[in-house]
Amino acid sequence: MGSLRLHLPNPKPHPLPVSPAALEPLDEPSDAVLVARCRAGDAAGWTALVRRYQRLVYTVPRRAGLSEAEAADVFQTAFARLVEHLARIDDPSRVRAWLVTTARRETLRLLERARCVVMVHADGTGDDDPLAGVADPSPLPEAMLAELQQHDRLRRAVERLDARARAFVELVFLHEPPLAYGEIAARLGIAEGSIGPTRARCLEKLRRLLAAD
Amino acid sequence: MNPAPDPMPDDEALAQALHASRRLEDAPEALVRRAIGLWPAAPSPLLAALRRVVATLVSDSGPAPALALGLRAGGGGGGVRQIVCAAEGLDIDLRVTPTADGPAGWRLAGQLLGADRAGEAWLRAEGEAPEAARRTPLDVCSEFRFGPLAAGRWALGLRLDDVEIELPPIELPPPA
Repeated sequence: MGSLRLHLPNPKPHPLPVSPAALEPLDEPSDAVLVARCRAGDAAGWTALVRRYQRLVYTVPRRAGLSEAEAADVFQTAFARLVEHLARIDDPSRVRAWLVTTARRETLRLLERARCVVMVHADGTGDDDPLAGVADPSPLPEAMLAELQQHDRLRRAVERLDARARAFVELVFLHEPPLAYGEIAARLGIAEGSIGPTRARCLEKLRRLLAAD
Repeated sequence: MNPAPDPMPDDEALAQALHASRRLEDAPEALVRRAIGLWPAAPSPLLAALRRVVATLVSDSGPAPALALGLRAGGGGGGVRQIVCAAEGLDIDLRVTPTADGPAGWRLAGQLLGADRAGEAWLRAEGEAPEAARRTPLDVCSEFRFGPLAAGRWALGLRLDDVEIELPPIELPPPA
């Protein structure tokens, strides 16, 4: 299957001329600010960090084929390690990469341990295919992790849209299964003919948020 | 020269990426709450110091009794000596064997039993500075190995996330 890659700009490489007022109500603290709050003992900072990255951290083991229970173990371990290491993370702005790396490492540990168990059983139980019950043992490639991080950035930008734009984007782009334009128009109470222009405006807002990220 | 900035995605690239992002999975809310709950249970990272724990000897298969200040390995002449220590709810299983080839000496292997923990093991000749310790990470099966080792008294420890476990010193006699 072909991999869809979106090359989002690096944070603040060339900010678009967006007035601060346009983003102010939707602005949110940076990772570095949240880490600083955590280091100061602020539980709310920790809550925000967990909520910000729950989706990304949970998706890493799931994309590797781990079960929900195994993914829960990885998830818990990743955040437990973050609590322990918050004071020692050199670059707090890279907490997202730190979490992804930790989740990946824990995922690979579980996969490798499963393979150890299978190898032991394969020695004496006579299973025809000793790897049949094991999730995909191939490691999570860096490209996939980079893509997940980009998609997560995008989803966080969606969450920072104003309510109307967010509702629109969620219905048009994120709804499962995809909805027909007529259904979208009915749900949003807008004319079907306005979906195209609204779509363009919402994507432009997203671009601005990504540029300011 | 600065690299050229990444271009902003056009509408279609952005739309496709949004579609693709549907494959991201939200963690179950109960799981998120449990992770949030890690905070009050955890010590403040700034205040968290590495705890030092001394492991206790649980069993020793070696024929020579443990000495007052250490454990004598290899007294059986060629067999595997198994030593089990405990600390922090973990059992630490150690195996001392003579080297099969190369210069005469000993090999030391160990495994953490009871929990899957990340960290490293360290080993140094007694009297050596901590900076001189050999270090090896625990592998995916929580195992570690050192060797070949010369006769003498060796200090062994494990450094896990938030705790350093010091094991009783191990005395390795000259190989037979």
